[in-house]
Amino acid sequence: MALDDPHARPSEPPGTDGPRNAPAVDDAVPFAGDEVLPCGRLLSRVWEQAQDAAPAADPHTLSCPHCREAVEGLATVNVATRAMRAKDPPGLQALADRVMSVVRAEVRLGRLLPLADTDLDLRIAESAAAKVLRQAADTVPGARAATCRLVPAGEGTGVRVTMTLAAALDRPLPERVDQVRRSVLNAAGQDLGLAVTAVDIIVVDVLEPFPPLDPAGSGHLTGGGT
Amino acid sequence: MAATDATPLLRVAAEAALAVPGVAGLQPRLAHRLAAAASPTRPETTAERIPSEASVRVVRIDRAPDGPGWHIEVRCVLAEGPRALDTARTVHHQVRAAVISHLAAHGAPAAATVTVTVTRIVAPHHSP
Repeated sequence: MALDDPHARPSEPPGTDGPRNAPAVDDAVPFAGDEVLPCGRLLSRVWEQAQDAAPAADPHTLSCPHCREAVEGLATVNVATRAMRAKDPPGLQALADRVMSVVRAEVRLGRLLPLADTDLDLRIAESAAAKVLRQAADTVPGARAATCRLVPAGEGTGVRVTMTLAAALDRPLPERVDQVRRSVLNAAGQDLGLAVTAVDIIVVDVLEPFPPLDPAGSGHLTGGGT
Repeated sequence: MAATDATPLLRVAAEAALAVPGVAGLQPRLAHRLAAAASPTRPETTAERIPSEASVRVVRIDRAPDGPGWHIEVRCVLAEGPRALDTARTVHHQVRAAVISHLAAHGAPAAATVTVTVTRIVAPHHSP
């Protein structure tokens, strides 16, 4: 059974970069997360051509199996969309909401990062890896991870982590930050299998060491850490 | 290479991936999820409508250094516990072996390359 995405969780900001090593195709600017087909064409470009141009206009699209498969995939969506448009105008907003929910879930995956195997093509979504690394940071007393971004480092399978953190001030910050770094590195290696080359940590907020006297208070962040 | 339909390979690859311990499920590809979202008759959850095969992409490679073959991409949701790298490796090996075996059994032996993408890691007893 295929798994649906969980409900929308805005805590993970969307990836901002396009695909790594994406070749430039014509003068098109790739969308964030755009897919490069094995033939080198951008998926978005192929879809645009399928929607706009006469089929005979591009001999490559006619002969390329990758482009053909992409166009066929789009046709499925087109049929369903046309059906909705024709018979249920009041439901258009609900349709748009559902489609946007699916698109947002896809964007939330973030960039795809290589797992630490130089022979096999194994990847992990940034959002999945970041969740594990944030949890690792949170195991350190007096530390609470805010954001966690991962980017490929170099040509191999290396990955660089940048994390923002709220930290208590009852101990020297460098000591606590080192503890968080070790925990993140350990989780990256033991739980994920990511070859992390560096963990950059930025303390952006102060974490109260003790819960406030007010029972309604959460006892955690005092500032606007995100 | 004898002509072979890609459709059976979707099922073969999906079943092989789902059989790997540590794989909680498969993540449907965007086009299939959009199609399900746009369907006039929607089930309670998208997962009920989208078959596992929708999580697999199969592309026939006619011109490759090792000759014609197939490229298979699988999007997996893993369960917490085993190291993601180890589970992804097992998925890679199992899917590739299943596809090659299927092709050979149907008189169309060919090379197969596999890409495994981990999209989420969920609690071990997560239910779709």
